[in-house]
Parts: sequence; structure tokens; C-alpha cells
Amino acid sequence: MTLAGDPALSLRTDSARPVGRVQSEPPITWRRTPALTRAVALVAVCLLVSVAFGRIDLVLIAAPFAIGTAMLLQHRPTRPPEARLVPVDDATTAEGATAAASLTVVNPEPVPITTLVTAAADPWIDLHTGKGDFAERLAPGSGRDMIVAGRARRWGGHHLGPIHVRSIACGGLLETTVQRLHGATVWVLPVPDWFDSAESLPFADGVTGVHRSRRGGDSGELAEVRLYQPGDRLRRIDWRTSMRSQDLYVNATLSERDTDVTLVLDLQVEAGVSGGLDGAASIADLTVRAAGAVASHYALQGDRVACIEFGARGRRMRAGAGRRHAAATLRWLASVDMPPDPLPPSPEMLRRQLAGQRSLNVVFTPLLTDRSLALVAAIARAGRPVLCVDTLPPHVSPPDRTHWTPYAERLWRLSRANTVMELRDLGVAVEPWQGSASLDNVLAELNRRRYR
Amino acid sequence: MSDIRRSLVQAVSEGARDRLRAGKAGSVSWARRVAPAGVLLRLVIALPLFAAAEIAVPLEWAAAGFYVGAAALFALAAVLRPGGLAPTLAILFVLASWLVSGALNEGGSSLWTATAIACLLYTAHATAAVTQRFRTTTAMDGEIILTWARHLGIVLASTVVVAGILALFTAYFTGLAAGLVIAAGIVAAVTVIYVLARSLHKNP
Repeated sequence: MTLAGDPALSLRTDSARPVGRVQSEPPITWRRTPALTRAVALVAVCLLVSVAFGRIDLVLIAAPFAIGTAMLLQHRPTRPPEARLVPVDDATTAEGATAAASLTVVNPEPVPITTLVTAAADPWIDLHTGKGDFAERLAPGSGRDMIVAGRARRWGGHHLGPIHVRSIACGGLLETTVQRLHGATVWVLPVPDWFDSAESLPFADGVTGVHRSRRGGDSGELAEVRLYQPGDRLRRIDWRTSMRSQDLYVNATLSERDTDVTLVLDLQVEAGVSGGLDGAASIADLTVRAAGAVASHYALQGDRVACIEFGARGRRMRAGAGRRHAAATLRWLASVDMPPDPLPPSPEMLRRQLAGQRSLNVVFTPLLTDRSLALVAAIARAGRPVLCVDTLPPHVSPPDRTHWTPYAERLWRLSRANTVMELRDLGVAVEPWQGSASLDNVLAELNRRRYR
Repeated sequence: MSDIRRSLVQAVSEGARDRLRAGKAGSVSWARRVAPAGVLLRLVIALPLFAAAEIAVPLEWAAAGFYVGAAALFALAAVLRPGGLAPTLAILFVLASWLVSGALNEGGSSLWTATAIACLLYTAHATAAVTQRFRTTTAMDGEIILTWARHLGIVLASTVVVAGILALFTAYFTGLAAGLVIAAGIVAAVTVIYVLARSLHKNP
């Protein structure tokens, strides 16, 4: 084969978009409507027939059409109104809240016009009544701000648009061509399930925080009441116990530390149909909301929280703490995407991205792929504390295709339960996500194992 | 039973059930979003058209089932598609009925009946012009309705005035020579048509 005939050389380049003319939007112009044509035609027909047949009543019937049309066309607009989207500083909202886009329409003519705004939106945005399809009157030479708004039903980036703007003048006898505004993308942050944990984390690290350390120190966390030793601070003396026992006792406390929490989101497989905020949850919904809840809880209490995607995109959110980091994490979670045909991620590569040996790793996984199991097992075998949150929604089941389906599903569930038990044998705490305080038991178990 | 073994009847019934469910959901959604002003304006198109068709013909025609059905059909079509050809067809139906009944019943029609028909037809036409781009779910500014009502009131009052003038001077018109009347009529008609047609073609 010659070099010129090599099929590899005749492949198209990666971005082989054919060079074509850029399609520009047609200019907005005023034009007559069918109503104007109708009025003129009716007047003409009535007058001609009345003259032809001597029917004066037809002149009377044509009279309001002629008078009305002449009155309405007395003042006609020439320049079309200008509509444009107003950029919003922070186009984010929360699930269940209002997602909105703002537009301004300016009427440059000394004639009042009516502007009709019709908007489309992502299926996850329910446009409010009167906020997606409405008509407003614009006074001569004035402008008006209009809002297109709807209720965001699911987290993610949702498109609000295109927005069609059409103006009508002279009582509906003239109209503009449709102006198409492309709309705006609104980021809808997940509303995390309420999560609260009273349990301390097993590997408290750092110099200050909310978790008690194994090491004694100056804080309010009481460790024991013991006999006074030289070097103890006088303000630590427990006078009540000392009075009772006639010996000097002091309150010993544990120091308080913070820790690193790494959230690993298994985004390889999606199952279940998401019903949005009010409906059933899919794997992605459970994963994102649960991760949001855990991240918010620990970030707000001062721990450093990082997120890593175990999926095709393999994104990583840097570690951080505080209210601002919690908000940034929710924004990061809102852009979670599960491509339909993803490249399988590598557990080894993800393990290299994990923080130090002492951080707590929380893996949100539906435990549906061997790679997820391999990842969890590998983290556990490396001696890192790992907590596995099962994000398979309980209602998700395979479609009923044959009469063997229920039996097959039962076998599969038994096999999955075996896998979970094997993971527990490895020291992995596996717990299905159940919202508030659902992880307390497993955290306590991790603590016991650590301090045993 | 597997997908392959599913019978045609079962597949069709499942499809029909899905469509029914989607239709029901769509109806509920429409009922939730419907705007009263849009629906009322559409009623204002239908009722005058139907009333004009009924008063344009003698009573025995107006009560005939076929005629009532045809009038209702035209009115309904105008309500459903106010921006299309339907209002024009409905108005032409009324005019044709008026002309035919006038031709068949000599001296049966009065000037004031014609005035009423003119007012009703213009009401339907003006309302269809305002409503033509609005859906039943379009929320409307109250100012739009006010402007429409004000314009309609002025035009209808003017029509009544024109009718009064015609009624007052009918005797004067009948005294004129037929040729003069026809010539004046043709000139007037061509002038009105020219003015309106010019405004129609002139780029606004």
C-alpha cells in the first residue's frame, strides 16, 4: 500500500467542522398581520358589492372596518423594539427554588406596543404561570424589564431558553418578526439531605477542630478526673471532687483536632429514573445529595473536605473548610455529569489522588461494578479508614422482561449482599444512605476499631 | 412474557394507555396554567360571530339545525385559530348569509340590523386581531385589554353615528339620480380601497 492510499492519513481531523457561512439572525422588521389584510379585503369587497348591487347596508357593514383600520394605522411604528438578555451576576439557585432569566425590551417609537414573550426551558424547569408566556404593554419611548422564571426541579446546569420576543402594534394589525434570544444557563445547586453526626472522626489530625484527639490537651472535652500531678494548671483543679476526697483532683481534657475528609463519588453507572426534587431519586441524585450533605456538615464544622469523581471525567475538588467551601462544593456537585458511554476509570489512579493516610475516605457508590469494589477494597487494604455509602436506591430494579426476572433479581441481590459482607470483613463500613444521622453507627464502629 | 412474545393487542393497549396518561397530564397542566383573559377574549370572538350569523338570517333559518351547526363550526374555528384564515371565513359566511337572505326576503332587513351585524363582526375581527398571537395560557397585561376595549368602544360608537346619518338621510339619497349615486359610490369605494390598500403595502 502506498503512503497516499493509507486510510489512516485520510481520516478527518478532530474538529473537522466544514467551513460554512455563519447563520446570522434575520433583522427584526415590522410587517402586516392577516388581520390587516382581512380588514382591507372586507372593506373592498363590501364597497364593491354595495356599488354593484345597490346595497347600502354593505357600506354600513364596511364602515367599522374602515374607521377602525384608519384609526389604528394613524400612528405606526417604524423602528422595531430592541430586546436583550440582562446578564445575571450569580446565575445559581437551589433545587425547588426559582430559576430566572431577565430581559429588557425597549420601545424606541412614540407609539405604544405590546410585547409577547414566549420562553422554553429545560424539562427540569417548570415555568411559572405568567412567567414563561406573557404579554406586556410598553408605553411610547420606554423600556421594561421582564423576568422569565420557573421552578427548578433538579440539580444541574439547566438552560432557560430560547426566549422568543414578538411585538404587536396598531391593535394587532402590525407585528414584528420573531426575535430569538438564546436564553441563559442557570446552575441549580443540589439541596443536600439533612445530615448531622455527633460522632467524632477516627483520625483527628491538624492543630484545632471539633474532634477529640487521643492526646491530652487544653480544651473543653473532658477525658477523666485524676489526681493532681506537678505541672497541672491550677485552673484545672476540680474543687468539688477535691473537697469530697480530701485529695487534690484535676479535670483532664482531650485536645480537639480537625481532619481531612475525602469524598469519592462513584459516577460510572446511572440507574433509576430521576423524578426531580419531588419524585424518586436515581443513583446520581442520591450520590450528589448525600455527598452534598456530608460535605456541608464537615466543611461547616471546620474539617477539610475534598471531592473526587470516580467516573469518566475524573474531576477533583480541592480540600477546604468553611461556609464558602461548602457552597463551592455544592456548585461542583451540580456539574456532575454521567456520560452515557464513559471510559472506565482506574482505581489505581484514584488511589494516588487520595489525601494522606490519616484522612477519612467516604465512597458513595451503588456497588454495581467490579471497579468500584476493587477501589473500596484497595483503600481498605492500604489501611486507610474508608466508609462506603451505598447509593443504590431501594426501588431500583431491572425491568420485568420474563417470568425469570424476579428470581434472577433475587439471586443478584443475594450476591450483592455477599459482596457487602466481604467488604465488611475487610474492615469497610458499608451503610445505605438514609439521610440524617445515618452514618453515626458506622462512624462509631470505625472509632472503636481505631482505638481498640 | 418477553417483549418478543408480547401480542399486538397488548402493545397497542399499552401505547394507548401511555398516550391517555400523557394527555391527562397535559390537560391538567393546561388547566393549571390557563389565563382567564386569553380565554375570555376568545369567547369574545366566538359569541359575536355566532350572534351575527343568527341575526343575519330570518328566524326560520336561524333555528335550522344545519345553519346553527355551520355557524357554530365557523365560530369555533375562529376561536381555535384566530390568527389564521378562520375569522375571515366566519365573517364571509355571515356576509353571504346576510346577502342571500336579503335577496330572498325583499324588504325583510333593516338598517339597524345591518348596524348590529357590523358591530358584531368588527368586535370579532378586532378581538381576533389582538388575540391572534396569544395562547390561552398567555398572561396578559391589563393595559392591553383596556386599550382594546377603548378602541372598540370608539369604533362601535362611530358606526352607530354613521348608521344614524344614513337613516336620517335615506330619503335624500333615494331622491338623487341613480347614475349620480352609482358614480359617487364607485368613486367613494375606490378612494377608500386605495387609501387602505396603500397603507397595507406601505412599509410601516
